[in-house]
Amino acid sequence: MFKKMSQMNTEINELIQKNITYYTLSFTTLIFAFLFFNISIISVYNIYRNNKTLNKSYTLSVYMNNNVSQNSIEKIEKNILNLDGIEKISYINKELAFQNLAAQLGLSNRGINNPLLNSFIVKTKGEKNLNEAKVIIDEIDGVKEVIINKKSVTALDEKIKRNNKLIIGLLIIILLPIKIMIFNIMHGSVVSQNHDIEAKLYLGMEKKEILRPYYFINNIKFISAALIGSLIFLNLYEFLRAQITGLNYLASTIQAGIVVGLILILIILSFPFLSFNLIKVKR
Amino acid sequence: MLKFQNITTREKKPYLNNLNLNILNGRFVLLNYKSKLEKNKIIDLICQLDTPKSGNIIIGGKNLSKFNCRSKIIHKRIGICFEDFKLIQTKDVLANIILPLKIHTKLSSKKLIEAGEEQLKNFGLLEKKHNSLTTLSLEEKQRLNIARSIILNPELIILDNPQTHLKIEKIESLMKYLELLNKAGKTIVVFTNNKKIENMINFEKYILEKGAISNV
Repeated sequence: MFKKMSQMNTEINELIQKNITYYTLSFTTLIFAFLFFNISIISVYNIYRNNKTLNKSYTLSVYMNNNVSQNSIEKIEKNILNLDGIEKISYINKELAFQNLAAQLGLSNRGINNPLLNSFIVKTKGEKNLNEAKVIIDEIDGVKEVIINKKSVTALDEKIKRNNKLIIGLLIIILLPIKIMIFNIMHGSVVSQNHDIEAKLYLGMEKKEILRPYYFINNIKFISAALIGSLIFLNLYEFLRAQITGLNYLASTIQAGIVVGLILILIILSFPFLSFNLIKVKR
Repeated sequence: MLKFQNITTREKKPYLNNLNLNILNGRFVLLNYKSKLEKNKIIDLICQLDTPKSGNIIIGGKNLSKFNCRSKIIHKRIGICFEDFKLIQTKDVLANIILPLKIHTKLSSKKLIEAGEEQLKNFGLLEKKHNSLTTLSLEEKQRLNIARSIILNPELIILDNPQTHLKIEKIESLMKYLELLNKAGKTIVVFTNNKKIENMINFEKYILEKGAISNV
């Protein structure tokens, strides 16, 4: 066993030494490929997160009758909260709302009758829940009117659809070429050595035995490039989030690290099995 | 020693079609060929890198069709000098020559090196043992190729155009050396269309043509 290991070690050394430029360049390219791979993965993840937030932002306004007591308002609030798909409810006191409005318009509110009503802003998950909630809330005693701002709903819908298209586009346009690039590099390292592999086959060496050092080099190269590429990416991500204001809406570096880590573990675990099918020699 | 019985290969238009050849032990055979594809197919079949659609290949009394995978036992008994050398580019001269020994024997590293150096000395390549292949001339590569084919002391030696890149005096001495090996009991098959070689030794001569072999 030790003899075989030492033979393989010699083979690996010879292969790397004789093709040092090729291995260095392909390793560097692989690192860059993983860097872009992670950028696209995290872009997709951030858009997905954004979509999730948008999906919870379908809003309706519930206006109460003027004669509704504080107790009833609390009961109504509880009733609404118990409905399906309600994400958030906030009560807006008419006096407070009037003061804010006056302040915004720069008017004094003294001596003016408050025309506003006590109200709730209700946020639901998805448009379907929004419409269902409207029908139910309309029937509740003490509720004067339930209003859905159709323009904002349409805008929200469009934004979510646009994001979904972007996710699919990113997956196709970025991930696929990167995948092909990574696998071509791995495949190329064997194809470039086809002459030697074939010669060894003609001399009676077993195919498995011949390919073992290539599998080993490929797997090590793949795993280390994946780790280095991802670490570079996470550092860049953290740096950009910290330096550029307005990027706080992006997932935190820890979250990004977890996503990247999980995907990497999956890829790294599956690569040795994939590489057996990937590396096909003529015979 | 080498027997092809009704061999037909798998191609749509088979390279070898109902080919029969029987080379007995200790013979020195010259095979002329009209098509390189047909000649290479025979070498592939002998190296067990291809299997025929029908027929039997028997090497040293062993029927290849009875082996599920490539047999090292059979490979050990054959030495092949390839037309395109098939030397390992990533290895130096010594590593190239001892590779068949490494694959087919369990000799210690020391003995491997001793055997390799001995063989390189016989072929005038000892001083270049640590050279990379890129530093060798074509003639030196051919000498290394021939030296490697006989390092295992095989019973059957197949030489595919051994005269390539060699000067006439070297070809003559090679043929004499092969004759000596033949007298020592080795079976030798030379694939060539070279007329000079044909006139050097009294061969048993065959022609490979249209996928079949005919006697001359």
